[in-house]
Amino acid sequence: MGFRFNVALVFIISFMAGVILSGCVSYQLVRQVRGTGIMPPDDTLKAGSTTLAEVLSLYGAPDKLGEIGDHDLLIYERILYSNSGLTFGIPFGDFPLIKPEISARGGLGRYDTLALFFTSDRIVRYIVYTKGSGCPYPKALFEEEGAAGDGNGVKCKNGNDSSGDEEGVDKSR
Amino acid sequence: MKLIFGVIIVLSMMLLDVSCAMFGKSTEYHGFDAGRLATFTTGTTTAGEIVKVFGAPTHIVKLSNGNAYVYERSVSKGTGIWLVLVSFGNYETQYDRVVFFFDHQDILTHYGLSMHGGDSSYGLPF
Repeated sequence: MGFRFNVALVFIISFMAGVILSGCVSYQLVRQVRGTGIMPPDDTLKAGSTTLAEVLSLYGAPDKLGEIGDHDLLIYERILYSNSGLTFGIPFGDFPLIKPEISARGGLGRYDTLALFFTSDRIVRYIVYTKGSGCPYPKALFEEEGAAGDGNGVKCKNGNDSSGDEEGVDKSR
Repeated sequence: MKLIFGVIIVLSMMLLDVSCAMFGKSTEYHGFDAGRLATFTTGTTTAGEIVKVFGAPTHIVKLSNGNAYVYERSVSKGTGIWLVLVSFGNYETQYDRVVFFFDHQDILTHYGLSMHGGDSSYGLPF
C-alpha cells in the first residue's frame, strides 16, 4: 500500500515539475533538407573528355547553371540545415515587463556540391566535389574556421575532391 | 486507492494534452508534363515548340553558346512534434526539374530531367 502511494506521489511531483518546467526549460531541434543526395564523381566523369550529354544522363537536370566568361558552370547541390536551441526562462506571463530568459541557439548549413565547369564546346573542363554533410554537426558548429591560424578550416571527412585543368580557376572559392 | 488512480489518469491525460504534432505540405506547382519529352528531338526542335508544350519557363539562363530554359516545381513536407520540454522539426524540399539547352539559333541541343518531388517525405530530424 505504501509502495503504491509512493509511486503516485512521485508521479504527481513529476507531473507538477513537468508543467512548471515546460515554461522554463525547452530544447528545439529543427532540420531542413533541400535537394536530393549527389552521387560522388567517379571514373565516368573525366575532365577533358566527358560531354554535357553524358553529365545530364548521369546526374539529370542541374540545380543551378550559369555563364562564366566563355565557359559554363553546372551545379548539383544538396543543402542540409540544422538548427538547435536551448532556452531557460521564468514564465511571468502576467507581467509583461518581467520576462527573464537565457537562451543558446546554433544554426549550421552544410552543402553537398558538385560543380562542373564546361568549355564552350560543352566538354567538362574542371570538376569540384564537396560533401559538407560528411562533417558531424557538433564538430562543424563549434570549431572555428581557420582556428589557430592554420588557414585550413574545419577538418573532417567531407570528401572534398577536384580534378581537371586548374588554369583560371580559383580553388580557394 | 480509486481516488489516487483517478488522479493519475487525469494527470496523464493532461500531460498528453500538453504535447502535439503537426504535419504540413506545400507545393510550388508548374504544370509541365515530363512524358512529353519524348516528342522533342535534339538538333531539330526549337525553343518555340518547347514553349508551346511546356509554357513559360521558370528561369532562362544565358550560356556561353546559347541559352537554357529551366522548368521547375517543388514539393515540401514538414513535420513538427512538441513534447513537454523538447520540440523537433523536420522540413524537406525536393524538386522536379527539366533544363533545355539551346544554341544561338534556339535549336535544342541537350536536355536534362530530374524528378525528385515525389521523394519529399515526412520524418524526424534524426
